[in-house]
Amino acid sequence: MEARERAGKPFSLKGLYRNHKKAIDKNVFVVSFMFLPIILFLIFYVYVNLDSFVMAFRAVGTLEDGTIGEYWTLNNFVNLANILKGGEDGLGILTEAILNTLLFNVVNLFLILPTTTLICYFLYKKIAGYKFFRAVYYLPCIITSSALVMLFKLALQDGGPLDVLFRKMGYFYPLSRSPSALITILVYHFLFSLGGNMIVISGAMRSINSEMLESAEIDGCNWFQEFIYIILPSIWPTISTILILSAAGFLGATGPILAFTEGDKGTMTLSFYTFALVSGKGAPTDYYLASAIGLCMSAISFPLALVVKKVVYGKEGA
Amino acid sequence: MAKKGLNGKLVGFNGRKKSKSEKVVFGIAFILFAAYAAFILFFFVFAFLCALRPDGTSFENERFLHSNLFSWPSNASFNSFLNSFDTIAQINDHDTFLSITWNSIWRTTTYVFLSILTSSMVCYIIVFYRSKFTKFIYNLGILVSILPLYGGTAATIRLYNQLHFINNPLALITSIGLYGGYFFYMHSFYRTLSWQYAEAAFIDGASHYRVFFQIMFPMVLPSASALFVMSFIASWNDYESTILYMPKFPNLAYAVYAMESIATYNSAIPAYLAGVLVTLVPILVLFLIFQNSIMEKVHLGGLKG
Repeated sequence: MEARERAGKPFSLKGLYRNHKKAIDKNVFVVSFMFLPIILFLIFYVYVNLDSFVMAFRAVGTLEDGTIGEYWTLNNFVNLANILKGGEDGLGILTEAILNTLLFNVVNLFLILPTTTLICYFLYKKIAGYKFFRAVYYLPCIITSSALVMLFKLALQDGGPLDVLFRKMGYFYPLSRSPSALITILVYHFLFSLGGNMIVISGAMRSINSEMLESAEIDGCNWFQEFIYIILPSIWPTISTILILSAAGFLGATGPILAFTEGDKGTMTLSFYTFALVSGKGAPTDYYLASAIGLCMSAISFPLALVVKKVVYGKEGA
Repeated sequence: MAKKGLNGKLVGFNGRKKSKSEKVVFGIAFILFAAYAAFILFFFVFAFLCALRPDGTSFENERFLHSNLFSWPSNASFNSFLNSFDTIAQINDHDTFLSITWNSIWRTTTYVFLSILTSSMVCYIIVFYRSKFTKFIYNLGILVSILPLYGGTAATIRLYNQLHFINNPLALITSIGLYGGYFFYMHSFYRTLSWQYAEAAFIDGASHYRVFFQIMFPMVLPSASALFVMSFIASWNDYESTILYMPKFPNLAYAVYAMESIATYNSAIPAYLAGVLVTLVPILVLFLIFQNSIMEKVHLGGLKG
């Protein structure tokens, strides 16, 4: 459009300068906003992940000249395979971590996501007291997990208030048989994670065209039909985003393991194991093994995320 | 707004008459909702009642709850709340409650301010200054979000060590990220804005910076404030980064984590629970102020490139 406007005007050096200045100002503006984020992205994302890749093939030991230093090796992957195999006393810690991670994914995908969606639907339909409920349901998300875990443990232990309540009512306290730590964490994870996706799913429901719902109601659509045939398809872009991000973080799924058990009592997950190898909490520190495990996890998760993206978006988004 | 439906019943989107089956379903849902809300609140009531127990009472030995479950303790005392400040400070020998709180404040505020502002600036450029370059940056963002890269923590710590970022407030510069600060949420916000406001300002001679800081950013601010609060809550509660990168600057979340073993060992459960409740207050107040923004202004679209 500017070119068309210029076409009718005689050439002027001032006009040329003005246009150049405009373009320069614009470019300076864009660069000033993007420069630092890009540089820091290159350092703290690209470089860090490349270094992590390299670390997977490195170890520290005595070099040929007698000094201590890093050298190239595949030992991290050999160690990883050994840990995966485990010993005579049962499954290796890594196998346990993989199985537990799968369990957390099952809970996330088949329990938490559908339940949250249903909760959001009733909140969207303004069930009595919906403002109060949504604030209370989001409470666990605003509290540090270590505090909530401690409250949970104190309240549910033998002699705690739930135990007393059951006994006063003359019932046997079901948790007095000490359920496995993993089940406790999974139950905790389910009960206190329902508010997690509530904000985005509720947001998606709010953006649904109300006229569409009105016309469905006029046509005699009941709540279930409305939920299945109108609400779910309308919020599908958001659900699909959650699914893709879940697929990308598939092997990183975990609960508050650090606050509960530090990976003890059969509760190790892959995400926590790599954290433990770096922080020294729950496992001896080994940066190189952590990188090797991370590399394997990435190699498995990436194709999975692409497949899920292709499935949920079809050809269009592939 | 009531209308007549095809079946002759009165209907209407808001406040319409519900059918019997719908009433039953919503009635059951209400009971379940109330039960779940009571379950969540139960932990806070429980913590509060425990915290009112006088100091020195061992939770384990006396089983005090047997006799007065959920009743106001006969010898209720707020001493635990006063002592909780000391209990929090016991996590190490050089910090006080105030210094730990201050660490929480400056770490969280700086992190959130930098990440949300940067995210806002980057998304603004991507949405309104379209070019092959910005399209590439956006598509790269999608790739990064679905590209699961694990195990980077070890390399991050190594890099932090090389840059002397461990226990260094300068490490907060890393919160300036290309795809941080709820990038896709922010991107959605900007996509809903009209560029006409900016065009009008340009005609009046405003610079690019002025258009962003005085026109476009203020318009996205109500939605961005929700992201700010969400990010603030997440950062305030983050104790793992203290363990990894900032052990000399413990925050309140870390104090609650570290306090657990001290409290259990010393049988100082009431003081511990009082400490937990005290640390919750700032974040709870913030949440209550901004809950409508958080609940009603955040939305997320698809991840198509």
